[in-house]
Amino acid sequence: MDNQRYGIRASGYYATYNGHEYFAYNIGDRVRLLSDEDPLPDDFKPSAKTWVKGEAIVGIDRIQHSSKVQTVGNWRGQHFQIGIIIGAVAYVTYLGKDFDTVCRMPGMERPDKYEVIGEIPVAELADVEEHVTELPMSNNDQPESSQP
Amino acid sequence: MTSTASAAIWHKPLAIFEGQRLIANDVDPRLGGLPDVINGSATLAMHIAHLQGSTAYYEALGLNYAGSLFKPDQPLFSLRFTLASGANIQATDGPLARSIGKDDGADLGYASPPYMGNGFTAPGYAIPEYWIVGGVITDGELWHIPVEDKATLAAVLVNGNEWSAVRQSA
Repeated sequence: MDNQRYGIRASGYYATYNGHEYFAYNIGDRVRLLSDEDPLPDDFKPSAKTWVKGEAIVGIDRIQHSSKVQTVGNWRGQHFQIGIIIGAVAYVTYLGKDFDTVCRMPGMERPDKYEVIGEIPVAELADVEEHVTELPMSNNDQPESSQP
Repeated sequence: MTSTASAAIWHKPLAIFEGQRLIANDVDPRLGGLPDVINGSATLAMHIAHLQGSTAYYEALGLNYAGSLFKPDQPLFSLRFTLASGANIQATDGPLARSIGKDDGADLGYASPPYMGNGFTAPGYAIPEYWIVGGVITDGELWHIPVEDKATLAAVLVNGNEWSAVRQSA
């Protein structure tokens, strides 16, 4: 991940563990922490994922602080959520209603009925904004749940 | 498939290359990058259990939208899974949402096809469609759905968070 190099945080969940903040995924009562540090921090193992060096899964009770970040920006007149950056390419998710048009733009594809994702040169992103929501530590970031 | 968290077994179609990446535990980072996390549109598996062949899935799930990764004459993968408690699952229609205890349906920001406007997947099919955000898969099976032949089990989720290919007998 090259987000730090561009000063653009990837949208997602962030968790502080052992005093360091990591890009993370909340997986119920545990948290998956991701790191590109070299060497990897204690407790981290090399990741099989191609886009991050290491990961660790820890209990959510070991997380000192957590927040949710949504980073957004514009490209060619369309609005996107910005995810991870690899090299000079930002992985993005379209935020809008015109799926039929945006899925035909260069670098875009439609993996789901109501979702268009794509790759955008970081240099072409405009109006980048980061919105942070602090998460209470008594709850995880999962919204209210219902299952039929 | 056993379920540790919920009796509901869900289904989501995947294009062939998406399924192959899932089997390799190499999920596109734009889709979250995690092989045990699911997002997007889904149906309950019991509602599609009668379907046979990828063409039937294509029609019944309304996969003929602009930019679709699916084709009516190509196979696909059927991902069947249970979710850990805490998953955010929304019906895409108000009345359907209320039937599962929600105040309203998911705001998909979309009011034209392929969205049916009634929470179902496609014209002529009474298959409710749901929208999952950040669902953690507890048990999962990935079935290969050929155009006509029988479905075959391609991979299973093992140890909670990684996929393992199923060796096919000759």
